[in-house]
Amino acid sequence: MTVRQTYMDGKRFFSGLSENVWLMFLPALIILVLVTLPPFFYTIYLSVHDIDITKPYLGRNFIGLKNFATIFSDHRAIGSFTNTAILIGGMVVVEFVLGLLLALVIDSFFKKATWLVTLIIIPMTFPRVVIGLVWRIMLNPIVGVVNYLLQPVGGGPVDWLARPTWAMFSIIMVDVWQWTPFMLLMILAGLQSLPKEPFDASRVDGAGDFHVFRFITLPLLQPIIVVAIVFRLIDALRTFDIVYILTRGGPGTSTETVDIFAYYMGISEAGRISYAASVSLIVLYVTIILITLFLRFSRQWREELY
Amino acid sequence: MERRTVLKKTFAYLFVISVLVLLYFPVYWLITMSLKVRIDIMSIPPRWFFQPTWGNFAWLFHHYNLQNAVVTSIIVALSATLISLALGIPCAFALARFAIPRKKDVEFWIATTRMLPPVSVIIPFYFIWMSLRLLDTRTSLVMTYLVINLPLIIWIMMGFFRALPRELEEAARVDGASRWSSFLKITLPLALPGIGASSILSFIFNWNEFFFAFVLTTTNRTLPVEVASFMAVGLEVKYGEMAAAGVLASIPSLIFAILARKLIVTGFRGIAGFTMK
Repeated sequence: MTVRQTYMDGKRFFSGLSENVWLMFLPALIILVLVTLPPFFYTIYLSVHDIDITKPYLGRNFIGLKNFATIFSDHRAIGSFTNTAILIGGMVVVEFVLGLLLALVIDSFFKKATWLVTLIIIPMTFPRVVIGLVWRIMLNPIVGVVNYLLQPVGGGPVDWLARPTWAMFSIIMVDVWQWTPFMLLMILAGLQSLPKEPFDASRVDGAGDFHVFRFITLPLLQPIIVVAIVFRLIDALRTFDIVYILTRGGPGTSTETVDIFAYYMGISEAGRISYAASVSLIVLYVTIILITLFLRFSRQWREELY
Repeated sequence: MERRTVLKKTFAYLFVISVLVLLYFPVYWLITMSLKVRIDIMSIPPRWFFQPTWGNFAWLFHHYNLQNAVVTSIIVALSATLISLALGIPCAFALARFAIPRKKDVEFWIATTRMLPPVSVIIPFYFIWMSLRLLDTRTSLVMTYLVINLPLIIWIMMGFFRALPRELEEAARVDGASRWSSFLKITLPLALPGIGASSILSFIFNWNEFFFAFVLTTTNRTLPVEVASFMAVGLEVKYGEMAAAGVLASIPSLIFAILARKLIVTGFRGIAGFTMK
């Protein structure tokens, strides 16, 4: 048995955990428990009751799963789920395609230009609120620069944020603008970690660019691509700021995401906190499923690599 | 063959240049807008050449009292980051090195917390802080930010500690160093890049955070919330002033991104669970 194994098994070096280890480990966990579990249980408590903060005289009646049943017969709620799905689907697909393209180009033509990657990822660090506002001004139908620039290309003036489809498109576009660099970063990391031999071998065999990409690069990259996509999905699910700044869920409720819907229901408009809590629990379940997938794939990928 | 590579190269350059133009046009627009007077902002066709002015920035501090938001933002972002570092680093080390019972479950829980949709905690937080009479305070905001920060730092640092060689620590332990001192004197210095990456990222996330600050505060607003509130001030939207506030809100992250570009790259990779150098 090597030293490393004993170390890991905790047989000789760490027979049982000493107080020292607990001292490293527990403070953070206790704080984490304190800031996550009470809110979590409180949300569950809210979701099985019928509480409206604007009508305290109604009391707090236990209604079981009725809130969840209401969600499925509420058009606005279902609409918000569909909108969220369309938005994050659109964002992640476009970001992936662009990110992959950019990563391939940078990996084959700009390998030494590290400044280029830096330049591309800087927009990621901008506050989303600021990004949302700049785009909102640029997309303004009257004083906006986007319509002006599109004129010579033949695009008639579009009222970007006031037409349901265009509003959806705009939100996706702004998110793509900010988060494609993330995809690029992940895929580039993957490309740089690939073994060289298969590529050399296929070149010797006379394979063309597309064949190398289709039959060697893509299969080798697949695990990292899955990890990056699932991660972006989880992150895109939390997009509140950009939607809120650009459209506030409008026009009407046509770009209302689950976050915005729950926020209006529970906090800003309606005061139906129980209902909002049930909606947010569904989002939480979806996220947990995605996280399970993410962890499984990323573990697989790591084990393959090392 | 020669001509084909030239062609490919041209396309690659064109592609990258157009990506850069698309990426930086909004940034350019933001900065120039913050330096324009109202008439220049509203004019179509846009005025590409104009007389720059600091008026928008001056207005923010003389008439709008933005200092308060700047101070709040700095205090909240810094303290949340520092507390999370102090608590998170040892925890990550313990998780990476020792046989902690039910380790997989703990890791799963930490990842879940990090990726939690903010809506799912905001309503309880709102009422918990309200009942503790802490709503609209910097304290409650810092505490809330721990939910995002602590798991983020634990997550990134865990990857870093795993990638570090154990031999040095083992040697120190054999020589009679305690677990804490081998951690503080041997491991920690080696993990400095990871610490830098995770603290910069968590500072940036705190600084940019909008949703929690927006819902939980009304007077102690952070910079992003102030920026967003311009959209609703009065009848006419104050574009120039808003852009100026936006520039101010973007500066810290921008400085970090430029100064610590390598760290940010490693940090972003670390978030997605990539434990590479």
